[in-house]
Amino acid sequence: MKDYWLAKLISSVTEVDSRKRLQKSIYLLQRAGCPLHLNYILHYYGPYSFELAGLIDQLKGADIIDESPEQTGFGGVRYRSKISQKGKSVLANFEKSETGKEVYGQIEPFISYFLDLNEEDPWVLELAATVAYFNEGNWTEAQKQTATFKKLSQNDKNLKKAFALASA
Amino acid sequence: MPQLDGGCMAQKLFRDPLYDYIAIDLDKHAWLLDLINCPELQRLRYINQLGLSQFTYPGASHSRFSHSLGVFHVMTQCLEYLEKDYMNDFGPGDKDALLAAALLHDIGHGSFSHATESFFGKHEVRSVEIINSTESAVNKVLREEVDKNLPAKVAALIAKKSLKGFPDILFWQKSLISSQLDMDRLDYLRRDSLCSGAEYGNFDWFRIIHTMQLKEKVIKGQQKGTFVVWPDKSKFALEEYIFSRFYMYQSVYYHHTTRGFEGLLKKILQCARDIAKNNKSFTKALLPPMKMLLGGKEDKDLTKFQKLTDHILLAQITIWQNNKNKTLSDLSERLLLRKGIGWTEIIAGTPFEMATKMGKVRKYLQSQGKDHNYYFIEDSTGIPPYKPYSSASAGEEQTSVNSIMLFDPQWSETGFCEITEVSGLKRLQAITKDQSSILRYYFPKEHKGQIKKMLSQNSTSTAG
Repeated sequence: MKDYWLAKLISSVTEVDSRKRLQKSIYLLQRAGCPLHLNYILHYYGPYSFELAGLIDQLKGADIIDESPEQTGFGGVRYRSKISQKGKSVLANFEKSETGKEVYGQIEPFISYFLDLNEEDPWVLELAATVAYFNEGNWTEAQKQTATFKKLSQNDKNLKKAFALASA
Repeated sequence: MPQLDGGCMAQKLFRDPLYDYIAIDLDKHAWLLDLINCPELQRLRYINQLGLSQFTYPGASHSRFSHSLGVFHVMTQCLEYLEKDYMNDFGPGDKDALLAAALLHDIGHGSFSHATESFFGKHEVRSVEIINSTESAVNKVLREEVDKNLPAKVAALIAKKSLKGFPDILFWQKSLISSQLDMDRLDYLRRDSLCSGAEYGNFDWFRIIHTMQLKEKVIKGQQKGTFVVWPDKSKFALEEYIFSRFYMYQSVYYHHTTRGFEGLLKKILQCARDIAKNNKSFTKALLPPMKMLLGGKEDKDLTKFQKLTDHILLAQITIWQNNKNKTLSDLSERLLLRKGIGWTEIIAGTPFEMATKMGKVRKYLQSQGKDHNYYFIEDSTGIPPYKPYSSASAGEEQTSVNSIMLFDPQWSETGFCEITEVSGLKRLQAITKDQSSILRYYFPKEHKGQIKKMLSQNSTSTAG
């Protein structure tokens, strides 16, 4: 039900302003126990999931979400995504079914965390996901590794914010 | 080809249908031949490169071994070229690690390659385990003949999961092993095309390799890194590559017959694993390498894995054809005789929309005496390991790992540009953006009429 969960999360906000935000938010959600279980690798910008990228393509192909591209000014494209009209009614229909009710119950506890992450500064979010990625039980070590990986000072202000966000 | 040097040069030559000859310079790299002769690499002779694609394309029965040699060959060419202009980007031992990784990247594949990954483990993970294990022959060759740190370095290049502990593995080096345009794809697209006879897979690989560049990209002063890029003059070779990849995906990798029988193969394994859970005599009768199916301790047994090849699995399924369990024997027979599968597809859908209809099909199959857990297969384009190039996927996190980038100092800001945004290539967007996904369903052919009807009825009624 990964496709449903992702669509549900996107439908809970007005819009997600970039694919990068979605990548990092979902990673933090998973680390908090959210059942999406997507495979992540450590990418240049922190944890990145090809599986999630594929799911977004699938939801877009099925007209469940709308994405609008926007040039970022340095050779890249940013995609804003939101639930489509069709998506809204498909979700509503699905949630009337027995299965729908059950899987909604599994994502429901994580929606408010997703709302918070959606408001977060993108750079702090990226750092937070990276700290979480490096965390295997030792937060200090994770912070150190993130600083090395992102070429930051360990006392960097944003890194501290990121740590607070990831360990909350 | 290596240069003849005073007549004393020794080389090992392999004949190859794609490159005519693949050469190893024994004066420089005698260890590479020892690596090839390791049992872990020789095992790949018994693993089909394309799983059950031969059910669709009779010629597609080439092995992972020939592909691994091919990737090695392409990597050799690529490094010889890069060394000329980018010597300073290589650290000591980097070249050895890349060559070894090219040869070893697939040693973790189970029977029929990707088809059984969900049972015998992700192949990259397994490859890394084997390379890191001091028990393995490949580890011994790398460690004793080259450098004691080489196994760890090769493993870090192949590992998908993480760079932990190996911060010095460079992104551009990783992208030669695994990215949207890596040495692996350069070989398999053309090899699979040649062997299957589906001739859309050809492209100018030589130009792609011989115009590659390494460039540093600084993003908003936050981070900088060196990436693989191509100059504007290579854009048509790259475009051709993306089109071949798209055609090969459509006609070979995602062929409905192949996907159906690979789905059936998975159901057979799932059924056998379920039976094994509470049937000791069934478990005892399994061919020893097949015990890996049970997971747990067995799963870590690399000596069993070494023996887990295509023919062991086929032998096991041949035996299961006469099993007391009717479902297992029936499924096994359908696979071996290549018959009895019906299918239908829904274009531009997503699985949860179909949940209610699928529930009905499952009930129907139960009423017909067919366990829906094993007789109903869902397949979605999001899942297969081979995918067409999708530019949107990378979003604003583009690097040379998840996108193909060109570079021209005259282009705005960083000079980097993702290929579908390059002027003159807008037509690429037709196959790289908005790929509508396809959902396929497979079931026993004898129930085709009923089930097709149940799945297609008002398939868009939920759209409102």
